[in-house]
Amino acid sequence: MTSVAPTALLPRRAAVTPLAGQRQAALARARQRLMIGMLLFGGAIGVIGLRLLDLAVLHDRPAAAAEAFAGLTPLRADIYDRNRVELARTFDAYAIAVAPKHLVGEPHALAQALSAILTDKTPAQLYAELTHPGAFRYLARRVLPEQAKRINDLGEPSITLEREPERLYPNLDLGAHVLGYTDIDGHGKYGIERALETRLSDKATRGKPVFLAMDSRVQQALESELFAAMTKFSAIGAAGVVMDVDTGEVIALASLPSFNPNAAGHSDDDSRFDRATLGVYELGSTFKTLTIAMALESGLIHSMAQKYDATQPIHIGRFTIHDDHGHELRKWATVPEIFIHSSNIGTAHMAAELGATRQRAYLDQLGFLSPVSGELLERGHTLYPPANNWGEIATMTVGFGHGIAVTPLHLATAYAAVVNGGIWRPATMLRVEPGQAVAGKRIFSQKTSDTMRALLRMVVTAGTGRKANAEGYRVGGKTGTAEKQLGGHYEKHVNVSTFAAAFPMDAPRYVVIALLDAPHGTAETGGFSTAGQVSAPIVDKLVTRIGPMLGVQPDMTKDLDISGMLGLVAEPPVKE
Amino acid sequence: MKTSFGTAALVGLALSSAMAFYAVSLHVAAERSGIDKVRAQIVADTHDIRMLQAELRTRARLPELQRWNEQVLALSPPKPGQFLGSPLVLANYARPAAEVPGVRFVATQAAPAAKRPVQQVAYLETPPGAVPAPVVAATVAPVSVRHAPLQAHAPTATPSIALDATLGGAIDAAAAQERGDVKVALR
Repeated sequence: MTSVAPTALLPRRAAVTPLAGQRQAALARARQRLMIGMLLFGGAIGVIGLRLLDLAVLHDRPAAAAEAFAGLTPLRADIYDRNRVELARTFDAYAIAVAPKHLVGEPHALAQALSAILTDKTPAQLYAELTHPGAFRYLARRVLPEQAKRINDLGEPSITLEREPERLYPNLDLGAHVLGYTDIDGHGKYGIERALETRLSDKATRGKPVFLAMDSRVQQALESELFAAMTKFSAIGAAGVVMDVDTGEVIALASLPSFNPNAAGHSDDDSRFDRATLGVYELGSTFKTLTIAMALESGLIHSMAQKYDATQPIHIGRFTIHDDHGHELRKWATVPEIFIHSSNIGTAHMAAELGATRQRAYLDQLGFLSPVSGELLERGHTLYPPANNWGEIATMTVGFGHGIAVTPLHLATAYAAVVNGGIWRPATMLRVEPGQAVAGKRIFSQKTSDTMRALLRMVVTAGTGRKANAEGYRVGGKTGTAEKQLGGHYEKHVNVSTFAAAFPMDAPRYVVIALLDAPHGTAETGGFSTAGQVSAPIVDKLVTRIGPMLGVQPDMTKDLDISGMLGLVAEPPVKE
Repeated sequence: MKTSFGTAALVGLALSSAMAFYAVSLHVAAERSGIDKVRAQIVADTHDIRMLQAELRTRARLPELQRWNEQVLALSPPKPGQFLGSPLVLANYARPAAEVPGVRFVATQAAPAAKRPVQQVAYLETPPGAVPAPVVAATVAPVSVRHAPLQAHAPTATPSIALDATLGGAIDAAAAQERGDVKVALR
């Protein structure tokens, strides 16, 4: 028995020893797991803590606050004139829509209630929308916030309010053709709104306003004087430009009739047509300035006393070039005589002497053979003879502004080059900071420019443009009366009457173009609708108004010395 | 016992720390909320300012100002003679008459003052220190002054500001029309 007992206990002892080892191992494993768990937990807490620190210290402010400030940036950039007068702004507005199939209220009563809020809609119109078989209908767009709130208060669940931008033009139709307008979705469709669509709507740039070259005071004066003349002479339209001769900035550009860009859809096509940049016209004798400048620059005119044969009309091919009735010189005439009497015959001889090649090259350099410069996309294609048909007849007629059709803005840039010392610069609708004007290209020498300034001043003091002589402002300019082409032939008594001017001629700063489309003479003008009678007075009144605004002081004691040239004129013209 | 106290102290410390941090967090959240409200107010005010500026511009748009000028004020551009060549000329206008040495302005007595709306004066100049020259009466022609009538359309060369009883009515009518225009513009 005693020998058995130890043997019986042996396996028991052997069983206890491994159990203790297992317990130790399990305990160690548990501690290890606990440690790992604690480390993981601590690590997670550490990561969260670091992340919180990162968010609190290193990151920008919360997105909600950033979004709140994003409301300060308009959805479309503002447009200002050169003096920071608001021309276009964008505001939050609402579109009112309805899902007719889910209408809960009684449509008649709802239409009445809506009509009381949307005063430009009749109950019948609104009822038709509310009962439309479609799934979605707009009841109104560009609704003011207070109207939207009142509609929301009606409590109709099928009516929804959607936020959308509204473009407002506070000056209504002032400068409408330059500003243009946007469509209902806020995309530019005309004028600067269309030309600068990306600049105005891009998130990166829309926070900064666009400054136009326009001076709204000058724009108002231009539109006002053009409208007065258009009404007085029963013209079908008018156009005008005021341009800085040294920078090419378009200080004012007008086309009448105009339209209200706040409701552009309510205007007709004629009102939206921009006669200053899109309309091309034969601008008549205003081109004589350019022909004489070309002849001077080419060395064909050595002296103002040089004479050209204006004794009789020129018969060439089946055409006859003659001077206007009442302006016939019937003699060999000096350059000043040809210019201030606006002799077609004398100018045609000069143009023929210049030749087609040189004439075409000059016109090309002056931009007449391309769409007009400037940011606007509404640019008309000029009309001129094809190169292979630019013969002597075309050269002569183009020399006095017939057979070539350009925009008034083309003429303004060319006149700026003539009077500013001979540098042509493209037109721009945007404000140019001092010293930032484009270099331009030299077309005429300073000497040619000086001579032309004296000739232009003579036209106003002693020639066909005397009605443009704004007292004290030393205006110079040239009349241009062209018969209008209607149905492929020239109408004898339907004119496009243009006056192209610059002031002050002793140190030119601005070019002014005034054009009347199909004016009618009055008793005051003796029945004439020529530029000297109907367009020159516009320039007189306009310059008197805008001169002080533009910092040009009238001075009765200062003027160009044109006495030498006046001595070359045998007798002053009788008619303007 | 010692271990339990230590654990309790640790728990208490942890809780109080958590409470303190939570209080700080609450304070920061409140401050942030306040700042957000201010930001929202700035945005709303900026929007309102823009709206008011646009409304002001619409009401004071240049075509409207010109209409007012043509119908009421009738101001016209200055003539060349109205521009002064130098500050000295301007100063000369403001020089008090009494301080001019040797110069006296004397009203003439050719007609009863009550009947003459404009008094003409004689200009007498004496060298400094000299005996004053005798006063010479200038011949006075009666001059009448009348206000220019209200201009219906084009401004005249003579500026005139007519402030009479009809002006209030004209202003009200123009304002009523203007309100209609603004409504159309904003729509």
